[in-house]
Amino acid sequence: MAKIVDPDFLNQGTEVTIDATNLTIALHIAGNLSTDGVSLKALYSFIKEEWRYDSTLIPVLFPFTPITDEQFELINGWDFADTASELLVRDGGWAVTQGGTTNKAFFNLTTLGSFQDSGSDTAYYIQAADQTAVVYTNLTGPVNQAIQYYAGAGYGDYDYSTYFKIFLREQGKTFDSYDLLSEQNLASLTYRKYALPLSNSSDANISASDNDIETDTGASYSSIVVTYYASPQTKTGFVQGSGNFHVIIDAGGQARGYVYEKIQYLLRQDADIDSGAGYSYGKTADELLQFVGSDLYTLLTSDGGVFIDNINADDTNNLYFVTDAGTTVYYPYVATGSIAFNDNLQNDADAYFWMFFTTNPSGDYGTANAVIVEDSSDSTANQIAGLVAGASAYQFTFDYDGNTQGGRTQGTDANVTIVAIGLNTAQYVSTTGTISRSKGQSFSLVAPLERNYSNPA
Amino acid sequence: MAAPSYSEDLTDIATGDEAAGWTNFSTNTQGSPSYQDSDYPYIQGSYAVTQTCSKSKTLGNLGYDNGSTITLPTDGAFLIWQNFSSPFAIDDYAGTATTYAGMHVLIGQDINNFGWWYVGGSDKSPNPYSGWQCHAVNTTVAFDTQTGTYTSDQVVGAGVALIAFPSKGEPHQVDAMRYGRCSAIFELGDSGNGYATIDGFASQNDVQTSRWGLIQVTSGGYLWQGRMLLGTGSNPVDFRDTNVNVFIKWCPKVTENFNLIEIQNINSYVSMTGFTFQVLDITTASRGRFLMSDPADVYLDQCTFVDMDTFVFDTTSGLNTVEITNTTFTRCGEVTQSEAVFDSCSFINCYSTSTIQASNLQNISNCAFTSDGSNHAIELDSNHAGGTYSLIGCTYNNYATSNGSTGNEPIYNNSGGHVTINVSGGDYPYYRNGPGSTTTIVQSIDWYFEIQNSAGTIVTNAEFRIYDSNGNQLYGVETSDGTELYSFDGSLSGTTARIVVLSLDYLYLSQTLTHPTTSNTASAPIVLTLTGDRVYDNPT
Repeated sequence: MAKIVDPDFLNQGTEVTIDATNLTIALHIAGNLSTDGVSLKALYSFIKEEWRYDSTLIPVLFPFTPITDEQFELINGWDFADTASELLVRDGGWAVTQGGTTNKAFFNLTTLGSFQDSGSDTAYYIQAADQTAVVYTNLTGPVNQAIQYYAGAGYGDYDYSTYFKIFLREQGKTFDSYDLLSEQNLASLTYRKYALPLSNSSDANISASDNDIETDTGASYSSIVVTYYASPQTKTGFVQGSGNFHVIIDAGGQARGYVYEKIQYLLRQDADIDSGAGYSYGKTADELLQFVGSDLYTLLTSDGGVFIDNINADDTNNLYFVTDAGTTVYYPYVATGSIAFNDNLQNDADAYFWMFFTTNPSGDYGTANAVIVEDSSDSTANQIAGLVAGASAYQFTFDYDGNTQGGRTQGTDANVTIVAIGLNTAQYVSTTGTISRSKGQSFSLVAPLERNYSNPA
Repeated sequence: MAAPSYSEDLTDIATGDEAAGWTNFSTNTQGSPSYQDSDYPYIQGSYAVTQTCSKSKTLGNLGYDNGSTITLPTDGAFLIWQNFSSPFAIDDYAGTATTYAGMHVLIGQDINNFGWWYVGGSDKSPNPYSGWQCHAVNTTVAFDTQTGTYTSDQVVGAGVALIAFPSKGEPHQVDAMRYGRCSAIFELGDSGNGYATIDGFASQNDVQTSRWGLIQVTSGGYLWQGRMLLGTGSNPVDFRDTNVNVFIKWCPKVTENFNLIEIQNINSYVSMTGFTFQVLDITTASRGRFLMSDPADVYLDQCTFVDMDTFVFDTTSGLNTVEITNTTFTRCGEVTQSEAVFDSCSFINCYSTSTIQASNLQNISNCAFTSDGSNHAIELDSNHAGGTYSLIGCTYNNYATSNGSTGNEPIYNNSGGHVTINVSGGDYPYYRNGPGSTTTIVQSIDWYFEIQNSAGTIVTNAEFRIYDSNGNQLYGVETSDGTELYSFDGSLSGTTARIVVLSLDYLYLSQTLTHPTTSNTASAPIVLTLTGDRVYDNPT
């Protein structure tokens, strides 16, 4: 059965028991009522109809005060009979009040978005920031349930109206979480329905199972740890200079994919994941990493910025770190590319090529002061120029974040003009292009066949 | 019928016009009777009999020998016109100076054996301003003193006790002397010929040759004594009159029943509207009674009776109608209902044990009773035993506020049986049970409600119920038409009433009120305003 939204599907004695002596309303999974529950509005409407037409009920004080479709009060001593009944109520929050005093208060949490596997994916939540035991939602899949956030004296005596955060973290799936008050700019919770986005899907960046990680199968996962520092840790060498961080992931030299798998694993653990002296509860710790394409980004947490140390060298330009200040920093970028030569250039033993900055403060291409672009593969200047020497292509690198030749601005795309000339088989040729912040950029030089050059011996 | 007829039942003893035959009783020390001198005051006919009164602190009198013993009818009286021209010269009623009242009636078998009935003095109206007085004396009433031995009524006269003497003239005058029941008899009358009226009778009474001394015009109204007989066994009366003030004359020496409004003949019709009957002096021996001897049609509306005696009405089902409306009985005696209808009347300080001796409680409504402190408002006679009656809109001031036997309870159930009284409106009537009597009061207070929405439109589909503090339903309808009348037992006054109104289109309303002590009206109901329910929904 789907969720009941029509009071006609409710019947006294089957789905609902109204105890006018003890002033309780009990909901039963029976008849038309399944775990899909009943909307509070439909239940209210049903109760009202019963009061209207059941002569035994009209003498009794009415249980509800409706405020909105999604907000009600149980009054005059009335309450739901038990937690099971409360958990069958959908789409509305309520307070149990007596004489103007609120004894209990529940809000309804409704998640928007899909769970990849609604039969098993289960969200969990905490109602205090330092809570170390999560509460799983009553049912798997998208959430629509009542959550008690307030209990007055004699009813449990707590008030969780100022914090609520829900998480969805399943193995092999993207993580999601939602800080209700923060995200919706609420001062405190009240007894109504709150809708929030929460969803997951398959995480293409995770292929290892928990067992693989726990047994170091495929990588040295055990070497990947995270430490939460009480004081900021300063790191240098970034394009932006240095940055402070409170969370340091030790990659243990492992490739970034393994780092991500291990960290996501840790964030599902019902344990302290801080390898340092501190304590951080895995299940509720803030997410630390996020893949954007092939690049791995760290995330700003409530503890501060996150840095990955001891990385695999191949990942230098695939890692982006967010500092305590929320600034993203990264290591200098080396753009790479190739220049392809056609046959006329390859066959000409005298063929030579040059890569110039098309525009440069010291001199644009086409002038005597034109500047030849330097390769970043060597610590000393190494111009991108030379004999073709029969090669089909030339591989070059470019210090994208560090090249300041001729006074140009580093970290910006470079417009280039590539020229080549031979003697016997290759005529003069030039082409233009842009070196951007990327890898594997391609340029081609296609020289026309030289038919006229002659230098008789 | 015919034109109204006004007559009396008096027999002349002497008219004062005689040329001789009058006498002096043996105690007389003043002048002898003097006749037919029109220079001296007279009230009836052409002359009065007069005497000189030149000796101070002595007695003067004038009498007439009827020649045979006179027998008075029951509750009748001798009517004797007397005047003393110098009222300052007579003693007061108490006889302070002479031991005799300033004015008195003398009646006996002869001039040496007679009784004295004190009827006036310098301190009794119309004195000290003087004027003719028509004394009424019933000799069955004990005399104040006697000379010789009083045994019978043959010689009749009047005397004065002087404390000073006017040396000139003949200041003591006695005019017509009559006797009988002293009935002012009203008969006949109709719309074409005119109805019988008070003024109609007075105009006959005041004819110079009549001067019956029964109903006479006086300043501000009419002065009345004797029996006002409305209809007779021979003829009915159609009496209809409005806005008349009747002053009931001070009659110290008559029987209680002397001043009597008596209605006879079942075909009579008596309508008094705006009448006031006012006893002039409550030391009178006869305050004035009201008696229906036959079940005629009687309507008393907006009348006021002050200091009168008992009222006895007579209603026979199917024969007549008696309705007393908007009428006030102030300091009067007991009213015997005899099925008469009383509506919107006031009874103030009745001096009898019970204000109304009721034969049918149901015919008493909207009346206001004020106790003199030892008085039941309504005494139920044996007709009520075993019955259930409605009592609507009556209020009780200065009565006992609990059941008991103080004599001041509003209701005195003296029926000898069980009586259930359903009270609607007015005050809760606490009661006293007479021997063998039990009473159940079910006070019904009307409480009108109107169910509206916030726009002021009447809501017609709501369930409406009222519960007590224990959740017991006191009243309820499944579907109200928007206006409700809840009538409840007055014993609930002051207790909690929880009003529940439920319409699916509106928010549930539960309002706790207190049962009122008085009814409201349909035109001024309790308005219950429902707020629209924006949440309720039944999509199918």
